[in-house]
Amino acid sequence: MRNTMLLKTNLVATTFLLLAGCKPGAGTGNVNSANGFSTSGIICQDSGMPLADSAISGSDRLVSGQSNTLSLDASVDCAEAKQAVWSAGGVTLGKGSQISAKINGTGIYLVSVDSVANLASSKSISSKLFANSKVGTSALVGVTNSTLLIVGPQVGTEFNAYTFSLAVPTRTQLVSAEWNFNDGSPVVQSLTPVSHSFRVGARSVTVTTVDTNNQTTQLTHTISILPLTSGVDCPLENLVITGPTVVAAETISNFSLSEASCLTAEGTQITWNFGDGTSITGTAADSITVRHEYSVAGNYTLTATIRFGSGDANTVTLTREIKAESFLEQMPGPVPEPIPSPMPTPTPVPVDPNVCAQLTATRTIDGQVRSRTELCGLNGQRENTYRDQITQVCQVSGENQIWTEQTRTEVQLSEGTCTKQSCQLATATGNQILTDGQTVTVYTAANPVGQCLAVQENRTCTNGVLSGSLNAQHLTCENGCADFGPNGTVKEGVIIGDVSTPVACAFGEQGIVNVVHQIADRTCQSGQVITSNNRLGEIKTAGLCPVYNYVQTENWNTCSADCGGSQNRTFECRGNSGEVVSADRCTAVIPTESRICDGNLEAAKSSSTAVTEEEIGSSAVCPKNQIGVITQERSVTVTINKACVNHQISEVSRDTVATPYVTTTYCRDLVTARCSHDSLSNQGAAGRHQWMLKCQNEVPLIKEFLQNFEQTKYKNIGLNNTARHLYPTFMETKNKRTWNAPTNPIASCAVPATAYIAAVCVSSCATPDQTIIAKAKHDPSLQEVKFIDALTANMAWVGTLQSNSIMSSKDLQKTAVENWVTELVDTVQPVLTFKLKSGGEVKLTSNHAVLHESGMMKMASEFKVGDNLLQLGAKKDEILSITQSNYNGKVYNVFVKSNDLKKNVVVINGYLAGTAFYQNEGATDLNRSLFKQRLIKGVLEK
Amino acid sequence: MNTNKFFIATGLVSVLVAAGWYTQHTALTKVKKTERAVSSFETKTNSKAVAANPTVAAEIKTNAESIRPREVVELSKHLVQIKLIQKKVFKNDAELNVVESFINSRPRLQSLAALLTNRDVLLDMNSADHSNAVDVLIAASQSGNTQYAEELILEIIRDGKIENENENQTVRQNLAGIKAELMYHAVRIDNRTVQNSISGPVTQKIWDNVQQAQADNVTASQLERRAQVAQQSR
Repeated sequence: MRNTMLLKTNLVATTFLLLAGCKPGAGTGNVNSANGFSTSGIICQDSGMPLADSAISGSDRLVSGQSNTLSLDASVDCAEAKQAVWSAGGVTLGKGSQISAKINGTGIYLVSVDSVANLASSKSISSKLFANSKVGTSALVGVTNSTLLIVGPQVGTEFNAYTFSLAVPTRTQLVSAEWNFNDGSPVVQSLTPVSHSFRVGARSVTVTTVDTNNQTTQLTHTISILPLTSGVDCPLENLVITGPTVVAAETISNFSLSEASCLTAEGTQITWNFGDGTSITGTAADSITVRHEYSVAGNYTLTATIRFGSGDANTVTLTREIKAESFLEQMPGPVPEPIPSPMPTPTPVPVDPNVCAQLTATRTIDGQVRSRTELCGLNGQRENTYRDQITQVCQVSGENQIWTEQTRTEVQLSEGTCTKQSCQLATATGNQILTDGQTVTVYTAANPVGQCLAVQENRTCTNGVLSGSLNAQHLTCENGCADFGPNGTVKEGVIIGDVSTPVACAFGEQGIVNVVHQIADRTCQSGQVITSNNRLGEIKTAGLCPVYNYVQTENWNTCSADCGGSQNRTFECRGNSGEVVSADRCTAVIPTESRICDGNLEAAKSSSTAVTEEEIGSSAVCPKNQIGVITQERSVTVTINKACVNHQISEVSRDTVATPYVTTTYCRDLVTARCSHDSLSNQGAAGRHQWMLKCQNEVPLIKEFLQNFEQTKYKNIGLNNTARHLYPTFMETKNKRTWNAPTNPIASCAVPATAYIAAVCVSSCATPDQTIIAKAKHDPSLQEVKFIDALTANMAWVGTLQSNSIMSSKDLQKTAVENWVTELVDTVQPVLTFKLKSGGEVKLTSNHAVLHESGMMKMASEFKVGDNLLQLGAKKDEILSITQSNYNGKVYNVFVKSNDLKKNVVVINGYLAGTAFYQNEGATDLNRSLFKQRLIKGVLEK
Repeated sequence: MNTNKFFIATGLVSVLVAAGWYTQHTALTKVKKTERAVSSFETKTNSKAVAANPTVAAEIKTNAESIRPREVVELSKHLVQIKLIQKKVFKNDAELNVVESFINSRPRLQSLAALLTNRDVLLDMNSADHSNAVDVLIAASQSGNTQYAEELILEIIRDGKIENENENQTVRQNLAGIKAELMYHAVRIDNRTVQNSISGPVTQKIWDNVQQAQADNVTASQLERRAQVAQQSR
């Protein structure tokens, strides 16, 4: 292997091509501009430095699209300088020691300077020899008008330091550049070219730049480091893919490998992969330069795999990131030198060129020069110039000796720049060929966490050179979902929310829910998180069915009594959240709590009024001819107010109101008094009569009575009358008391010795069960009661007219009852039923005293239809009918303690009628006679 | 009134006049006797006899002797009328006026006394008439011309026919009854006055009986009072 260090190769990449000062040669200072190239002149030195040792100045200042001056060292040998031909990418840039070169677009090119003489002399030697007899010099340059480029060797050997520089667009001004050689060595901060040596293997250089816009850019450059003893004779340091790194899509771009002559001589096999799925494999002879057209704009990775020899041991792969853009203003690449107009030459003397002078002499002449487009690189093509070298032998031909062609050998005069080379883009799914100019968008990650834009870059194939980063190997990219993860991330059972599911409680309670995680599977699909398979997960919060218990309230049920009652506390069945529910939800026994209470203190208050009739003795007494009492009477109304005190009804006050005393006279004559004391019904009177008949012979008193009154008849009254009986009532002289004779016929005939007949009475005729106005002792006032009730209650008073009443008086007074009368057993009584015009009705025995409208008391039987009965206030009520019927039952009557006619008028069924007093009226004369006889008995006797 | 009765009545008038005189005389005699303290009842009363009103006595005597049968009949009608009125529960003004005018009429009352003492009337008089006359006279002594009525009652009590054992028993019997009822009911007249008007032993007996009956009444009243008190105490 050659020592590449001897090559003085400048590997410079910059936007400026510094014009080296055209200094005269150190020796002569002779500056020639002998040729017509667009050189600024020949700066050289006779017998100066060989061209191969000369450095190229200005290559580090090449500006894309601008003419830049390139020059050789001023001490270069003038002979060689004059013959120096400048080329790049197969395009001749100029001749001489100094040229003005122009490279458009963005790309990395190897600028070579060779001597024309050397080139000519080398035609006949093998490429390998040519390579070994290197007479030119070269420099790797990078130009750019769009993106930053790392310019440096792609192949090297161990122990050698290689220089890397940056090609920076003119509109970009870097602030810093941080170089990382990714082998553990310190990072280098430098805006100028840096050098570094590597160990064997695939290595990379990463530079991170920051521009004045604070834009950070990171570029990676790969370099394959071979052992020193690789056996490859070509200068690997200069072996690079040259050509544009930014190409136009749908346009053929040329990509070339440097060191074409050496590679050709080495007999290498080259495989171009354009990164867009296309590739070209060929020998170095036909594949140094390839033409490729990227059909689609994008970033592509162009690779050139060079296999030295027949085996795979020495295989080097070069990589170039190509960016194919849809449109480029200029075709990238070096601009060929202008073709000089041919110099006028003198007209030669015509000679027969085919005439030779010496038989068997040979000569070699050049044939026609022709160009042929050949494939080169990966799908690239180039225009090579060939000329046949014809070996002629001088032979006799006819009369002449002419040069007769013996052999014809085609000699390549020039090798065109391999253009339109495709690029091979290495992707995660395999290599892809990008046509020249094709740009493909690739991604550094197929499934980035974030957006694809963040990992996207366009790789453009520019004549076999693929722009962009080697890391962008993914043709497709699916947006990630940021924090969720890259595309395709699947998260199963992700809690996406909560849902409430009702809990079936024992009593159908509503609103009790389990809070259940709602989960789903989430998948990142093209930047969107897709949620699927929604389902219920675990219970987050279990809904609890209420637990019911009796809870005491401050309420008590109704007190059982207004005062001193009891009541129970009300317990409510409540759920544990406090809601009141029906008692059937509480399974426990309801507690009981009782207390004494007063249900209604107001209602417990009562006021009772008791009216008592108070009587006191009066100094006045009844006249001696009457029996009875005169009293001072008053009504005492006692109002007792009671209230609830300490849960008991207690008297709290008492009000007593008494009326003034009223003198009341209860004096009546003897007969009235005695008969009322021994009042008999018809049945009783009849029984007494029968007893008297039985005993008359034993008791003279009785016999005398019967004899005196046996024939007595007055208004149907008689001793043995079925309607109204006369009967005697007895008194005892001894004790002045009434002796009630038997009413039972079979009773004993024993009569007290001092007994005498005090009066003759008439049996009580009575009304049936009609009403009468009466008053019990403690009744507050007179009221209408049934006769039987009045009798049963032995009411003390009946309502009667007053002594001074007139017929129209409506006021009644209470008159003391002497005796209520009835019969012991039911009997059949003739009864008159009066139907009255007012609708009223009254039933009376026929001999009952009824007040006639004339003011007289008449027997009921004395009334006839058309007569009037009198109501209180003398209101007349016409009798419409009188019906007699038999009444089977008891009849009633009453005696009052008064002889007064009006005080013996009572109200029966609303009509004014007489008491029993009037029933004894018929016996008045009899009694009078009897009484007189008693008073005068024996007085006339001597 | 038939002829017989008329004669009887005429006779009665004579008898009554005679009896009236007798009565008056007897009464006076009685007074004298009383004053002499020979009468049993005098000792009971031990009171000074009240002198009779001579005018009244004279009037009764005159009327009793002069009353004619027709007048008796008319008087009887009046008495029946008054009795009916008195039995009425409600009396109208006319009725009240009838009664009031009668019991306040001195001649009417005088005629009553004459009726009750006329011998012929006593002999043949309907007991009802007597009763009615007594009732009216008693009523007059209570609410009519009371003083005169009482004087008349006392004069009747003084009537001595009852004391005459030779007198017709019917006359005596009826007069005894009349005296008994008058003494019994004329309670406004104090006992001493009555006692001083006693015409003789028969009347005294009657008076004794009357007082006994009244005493019985008082006793009965007292018993009733006691019973009432006892009932109240219950």
